[in-house]
Amino acid sequence: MADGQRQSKVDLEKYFITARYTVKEDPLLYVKEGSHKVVIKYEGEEDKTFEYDVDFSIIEDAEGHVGYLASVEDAKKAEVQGLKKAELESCLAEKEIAASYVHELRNPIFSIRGFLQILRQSFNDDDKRKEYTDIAIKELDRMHNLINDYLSKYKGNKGLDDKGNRGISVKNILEELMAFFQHNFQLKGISYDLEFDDDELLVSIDKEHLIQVFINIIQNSIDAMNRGANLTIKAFKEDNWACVEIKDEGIGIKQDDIDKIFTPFFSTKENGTGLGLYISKRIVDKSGGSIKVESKEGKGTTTFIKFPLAKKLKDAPQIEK
Amino acid sequence: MDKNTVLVVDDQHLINVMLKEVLSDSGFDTHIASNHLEAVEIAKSERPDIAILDVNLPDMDGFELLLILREINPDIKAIFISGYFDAEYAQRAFAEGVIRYFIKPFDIFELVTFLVEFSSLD
Repeated sequence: MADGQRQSKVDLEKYFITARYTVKEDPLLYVKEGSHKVVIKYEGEEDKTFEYDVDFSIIEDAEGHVGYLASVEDAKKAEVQGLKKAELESCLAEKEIAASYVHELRNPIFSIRGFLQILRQSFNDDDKRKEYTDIAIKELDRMHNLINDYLSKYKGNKGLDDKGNRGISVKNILEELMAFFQHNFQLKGISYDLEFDDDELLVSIDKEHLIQVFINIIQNSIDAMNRGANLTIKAFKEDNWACVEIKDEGIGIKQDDIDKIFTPFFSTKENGTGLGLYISKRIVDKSGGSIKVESKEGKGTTTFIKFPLAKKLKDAPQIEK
Repeated sequence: MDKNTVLVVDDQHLINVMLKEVLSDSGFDTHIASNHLEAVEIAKSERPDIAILDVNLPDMDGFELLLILREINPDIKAIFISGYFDAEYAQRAFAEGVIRYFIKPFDIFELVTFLVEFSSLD
């Protein structure tokens, strides 16, 4: 024991051991329980008071074995913690209200933007007013981006990029989607593997469009697979492309049908609209990417999707002064 | 254009007016409703081919309204528009045959281009 520390006359060690007790199945009888405040006051040069909330129970089982349980808490600390919790709760509630107001701004922004787009059409190319409406639309988009920034910070959205690069992360989106499909996977007894390389895969495409593409393809895979099958999703970089391979062990597509799968209204599913892959292809094509499908009947289908990687800001052309 | 009757349902009146303006200009026979009751009336009288539905109407959710519209016309195609993107909701929407999901504010001419292409499909 270190010098200066008071030597106790009581053997305290035996009170500070970790012990576990097993309670028999017999219900414990609570003889008495209660809570009270213990105030310890020091009378000295400087008055000090310590207050503790003490909960105490005397317990006894059917055979008359008696035990005691006590819980001691610093009263002031509990009070402070209670206050902090209340402050935190009210702060969160305020943020929630603010977020719902900010969110609601999207409706007027949309109608203003739409009317400006209609107005813009009525001006000739050399009309100054066309330029003004372009500026107004750009400023509205900037306002909308500020709203998105605010809401994504509030929600802790991982999908947005924060490293000075434009674009959103293909890998984050796929991870998020796996969480959403979890229930379907469990229900159908399907397993999945995500194989990502270390490269950042940022693409310049709307998040919701990207999700639309992946949902369509992954849903098709899930529909095509039976219990015990596995879905493998790989995401990797190849030159200036973000590549995603979605490989299922489903029933596959007939060779005759493969050429038709991107045709609108073509579906091999009983309730399919035949629009999922058609729309996915449109979105991928519009982003400058490509999509193709390889399939073997009875073995499975692999969908290959390529998106152009987003350009880093530092690579963007600089305006000369 | 074969499928050129469009129903727009949004509780924001100015959004309805704006979409009607641009869709009518592009040759679509456009009808607007601000709640599900008006939407049902129009679905019965005008038999729209395509419904553009705000997913959060005060009186009804997009899925519920789509179900009612499909009872009137099983072939009706739906496009959802929403103020925010919810992947879970979108997944359900595509599973139930919704053909596009636009997030406000979006480029209205992207919607027009999509509808023009879509309505000329066989």
